Amino acid sequence: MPQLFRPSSNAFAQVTVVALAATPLALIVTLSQITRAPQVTGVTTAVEQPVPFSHEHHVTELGIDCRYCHTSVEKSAKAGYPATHTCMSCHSQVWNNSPLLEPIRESYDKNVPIKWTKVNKVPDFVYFNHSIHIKRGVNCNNCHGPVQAMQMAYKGKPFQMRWCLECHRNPEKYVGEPGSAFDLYEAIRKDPKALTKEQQVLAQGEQYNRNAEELAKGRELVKKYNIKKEQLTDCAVCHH
Amino acid sequence: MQRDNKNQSNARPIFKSFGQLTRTPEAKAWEDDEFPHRESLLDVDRRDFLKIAGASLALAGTAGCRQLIMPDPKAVPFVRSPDGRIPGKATEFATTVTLAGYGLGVVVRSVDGRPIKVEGNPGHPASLGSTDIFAQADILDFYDPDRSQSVIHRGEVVSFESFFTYLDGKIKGFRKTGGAGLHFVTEAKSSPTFTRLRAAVLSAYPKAGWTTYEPFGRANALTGTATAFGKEIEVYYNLKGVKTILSLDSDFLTSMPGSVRYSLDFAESRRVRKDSSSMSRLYAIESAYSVTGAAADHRIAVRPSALETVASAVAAVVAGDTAKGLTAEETLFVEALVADLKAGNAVVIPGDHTSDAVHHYAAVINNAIGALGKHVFATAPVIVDKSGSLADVAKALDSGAVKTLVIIGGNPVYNAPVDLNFSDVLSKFTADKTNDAIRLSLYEDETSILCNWHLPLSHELESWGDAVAFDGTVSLSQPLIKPLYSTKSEIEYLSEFLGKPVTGEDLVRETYGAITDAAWGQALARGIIRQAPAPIAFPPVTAAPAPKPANTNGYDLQFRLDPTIHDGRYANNAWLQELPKPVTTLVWDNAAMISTVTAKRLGIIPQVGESDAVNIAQYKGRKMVELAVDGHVLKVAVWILPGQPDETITLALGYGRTHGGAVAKGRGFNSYKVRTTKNLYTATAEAKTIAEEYELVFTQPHHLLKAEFVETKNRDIVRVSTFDEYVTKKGEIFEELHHGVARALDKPHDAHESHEGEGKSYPADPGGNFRYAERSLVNKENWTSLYPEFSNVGYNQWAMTIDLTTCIGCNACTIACQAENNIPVVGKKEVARGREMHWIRLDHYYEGTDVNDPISHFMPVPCMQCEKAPCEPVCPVAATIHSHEGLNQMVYNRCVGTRYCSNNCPYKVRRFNFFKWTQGVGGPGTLDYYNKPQLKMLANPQVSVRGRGVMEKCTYCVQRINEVRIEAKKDGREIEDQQVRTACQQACPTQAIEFGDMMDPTSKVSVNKSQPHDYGLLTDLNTRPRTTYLARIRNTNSKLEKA
Repeated sequence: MPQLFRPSSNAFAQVTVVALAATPLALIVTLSQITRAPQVTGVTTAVEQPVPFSHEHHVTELGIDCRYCHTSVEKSAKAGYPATHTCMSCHSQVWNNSPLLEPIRESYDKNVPIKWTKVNKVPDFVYFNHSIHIKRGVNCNNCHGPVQAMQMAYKGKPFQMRWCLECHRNPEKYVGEPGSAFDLYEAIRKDPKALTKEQQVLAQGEQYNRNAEELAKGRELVKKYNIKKEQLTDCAVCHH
Repeated sequence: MQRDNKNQSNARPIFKSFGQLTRTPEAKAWEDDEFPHRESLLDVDRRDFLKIAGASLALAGTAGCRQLIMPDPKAVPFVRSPDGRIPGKATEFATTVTLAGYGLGVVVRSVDGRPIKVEGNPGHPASLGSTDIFAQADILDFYDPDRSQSVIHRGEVVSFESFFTYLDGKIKGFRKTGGAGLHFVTEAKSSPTFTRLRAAVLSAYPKAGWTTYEPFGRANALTGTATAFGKEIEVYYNLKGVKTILSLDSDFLTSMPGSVRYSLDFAESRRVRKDSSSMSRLYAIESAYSVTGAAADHRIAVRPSALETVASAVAAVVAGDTAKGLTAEETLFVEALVADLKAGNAVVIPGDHTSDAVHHYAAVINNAIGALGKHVFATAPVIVDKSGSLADVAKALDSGAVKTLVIIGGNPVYNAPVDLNFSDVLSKFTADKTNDAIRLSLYEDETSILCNWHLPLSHELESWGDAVAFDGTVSLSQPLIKPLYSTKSEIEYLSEFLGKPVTGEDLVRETYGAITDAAWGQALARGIIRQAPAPIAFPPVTAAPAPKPANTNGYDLQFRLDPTIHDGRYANNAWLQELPKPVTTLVWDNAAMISTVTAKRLGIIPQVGESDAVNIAQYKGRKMVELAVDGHVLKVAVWILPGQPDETITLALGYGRTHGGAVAKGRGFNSYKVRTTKNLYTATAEAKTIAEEYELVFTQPHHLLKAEFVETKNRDIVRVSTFDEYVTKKGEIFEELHHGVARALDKPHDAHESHEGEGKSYPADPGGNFRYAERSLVNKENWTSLYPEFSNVGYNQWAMTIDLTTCIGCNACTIACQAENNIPVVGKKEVARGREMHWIRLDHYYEGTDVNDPISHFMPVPCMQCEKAPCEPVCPVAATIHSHEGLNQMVYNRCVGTRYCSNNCPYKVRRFNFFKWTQGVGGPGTLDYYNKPQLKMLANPQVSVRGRGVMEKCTYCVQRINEVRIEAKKDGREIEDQQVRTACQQACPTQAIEFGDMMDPTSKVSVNKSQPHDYGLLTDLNTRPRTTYLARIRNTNSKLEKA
């Protein structure tokens, strides 16, 4: 009677044993990577809007301040979207015949609001407040990516909780001088070559790693702002 | 319960449910478990269990796909942004809400154009910043999806235009005939604009008639004062500095115009603190158990028909005569009370529903004790029009004298005296096609369906208007939002009847003559346009008539406003329906209240055998009686209420609705069916027990706290003392219970080095010292804990005190919390299983051995925010953990619903979403109650709406704390005391709830916590609750104190 299992069966069995152990692991890793992939989180995917508004054109080329349209960003939890009236304050004079701006004119004439598609969104159980972050000199790009360079707006960061906590655990890495939240765009417009290292990285929408000296300055700011670090990770600061 | 919860000073038992007192197994189950009678996991089939477990595991993964399948959310900005509107920021507008015509000034919070919360207007004399349950619940009425939304003509929805075309034709006719055959019926209105338009309509159509009908108004108070003083005046009270109050069957703390204000002034006279040397005393002579009776230091129950005798006896004794026709107990009571009345600073308040004669006696006594002009004041009648009666209207409808009937508000078909047969009269009237009945109302109710025209009214929060308060102050209503549906307000409809429609704002503004835009703007911002006029001087009081003798045969039947749904106008308000009624704690129903003696006589409980307490404990509230008054019959469920006078049946009005909304329909019993013109407030009735049964649900036995006595530590839940004892012992009324333990506050914190914060100094960080014990305001015993201390250096430490002496049990806190925190209602069936969701519940305790004359104590119980919270270590997913500000945080998005936390909570304050309450499933009888777009607009956007399977509880209104903290941080300052106010604190009419930072020694909450009579609930568990109580101090009269 020949042997039931040939020597090659050994290899087969070994591969099977390893596969049995590895498959669930691989599955978990794959799935978790899929949920973090830009295709799923929407990061860097430009969102179609009723009017192809270019932040690059308005912010970098024309030098319009963020607060001209996002009026309540310093006062309220919400940054606010511009009313059609805000668009028309220029576009009744400039590009007033452009077919691309037809929805704006229509909205203004018929008094029907424009329905923009939201690009950045936190879940309903998260209470994010723009005004306090601006007050602490946190630049928009920290959360929204390179807004001043966006032809079409897209989500700059995935807004996962661990990402929020990165700053809430180490505010000294991100806080800026009082009133400095919008300085970056002014600096880019004046002279893109004169940017500080931190500004260069921020302009790319990336996270800058502060050096020891900058961190010390950050810590000073944290003290000056009376930011209580431990409290920033209290659940009820964001969830209520 | 190992031991009766004893009042230490006189050893009377204090108990919540009679089951607890008599130790029934049922009560034991409620004591052991927050949600007793659960299915056991062992009862589930193993295969089913595995199937469900497998399915949940598989489906759990799909939760991650949400982002792929959800549609892109839209952002819709304005076309032209309104001035001053900041997205996401709440704005507040002053306006006025009315109840039975009387105005209460409020401030409504509006977020992104949606009104979401009603608060009191601090500048309005009727409110002074507080509100009652009705004002709080008005916001739900406003968003009520059952509100009428369209014009209905003979059962069909038609356009507004078709009505106005019809009306134009009618008006032409009226112009010619002078309005012959036109008649208006309205509910009580104090609005000067409404009054002005009424006069304009009546002068345009001089032959038209007008009748005001209010089912439970102040008519008796007005006629009573008219006989006493010779002219009709509106009497109101000022309880500032009062020493003695006698309530003659009046529930002046919750159900009179001006109650919110009276409650505050009353509470001020009873706020006992360390150095207090005086406290007011309240005597109540009552024919039903009201909130005021529960607050009283001494209370006697008399049957309603005997009230005149007792009141006249008080008047006689005040005048130096002897009391006639009283029992020995009553004589003793009256003599003791008169001695106090004569001591000065006293006042007598008769109930609005009591007879003319009782009001007359009250006037005589108030005159004799010098209260007139001191605590009793008068103004012109607030409800101006009282012309005609509904009986005359019914006659005119029947005889054909009226051809066009206009009913504005009210609901006469439902609430007219039964002998008028108003529903038959009206259907006969409208059956004749030449007649027209036009109805304006918020709901398509019993009256609307019998009228051939029904027109939808706007709610007060979406229309212009004005109203007069109890003291004559005139305040304005402004719309918070455009009407939700195409509706108009009463005054706008009236201007249509004049043939020249004007907008609501212009109508109201015209009433106040030439007023500049600036002055108008200021009046709107303040809410008040005319301050209260100077009080009218009282004319001399005439001699009072002899009292009518008390009823000796049959039962005294009396009608009362329902404590939560009023006369039925709030019947479709699910918040108020599910709010446990004070004292009885019944929900979703009314019932006939009777005493144990009457219950025995009716055979509801056995005549012999067990004690009354056992009988009450075993009575499940299922039996029914049939009441008969002058041939009118009502079958009604019976409720045994300790403290109810014998031979007296109290019926609350407002239930048994047949139309007017899905929530209102078919609940409880229609007491109007036995209410006749002759007997509007009391009647003589026959009663017999019937075989039918009905299930009543009450919350009294729910959430029983376990009060075990451990050595010498005081675990009393409700702690009670008398003012005399308080003064003698300088407030140290619990001292003997803490042998050898020095009170923490007697020693300064100098054991620690001080820490310099920004403008504040705090004791040093204990440094995570395991088993470190720190004396604090919530750890007065200086006990050690096995749990590590958390650092509280430099953080506000939030804490709350609730003063049981000034808490009157009005429930305003519960409704305010429900509105602020998006708390759902669950329906009667689920309440019966103990699943009510209120974050702050109002426990009601009885004290005493005499079941028929118990003392009541109210205790609001929110989450205690324990420093060593038992719920925290048992949560497997850390969904409930401590914050640095001492809050016991509840993280909904982490919660997986194990319910271990509620199982481990000794205070039973955690609430579980057994169903998708917030999405409608399991709601009040209707499966999609919350699943209506209107109710989605109601939600406070600052608070997460919780889904099924999630635990929730009081958060100390953390959203309000965060809002104030962020603003303070932006301005670079510290949060000051009273800048953060919780919803319950803000609503509380007596300011019994105080909230603030206990690390700030000057904050109100620290001052309260330093009082000698401050105590924590079940503190021997070493939970260190941040919410503590100030013991109930009663100012008893030693002459009347019972053993």
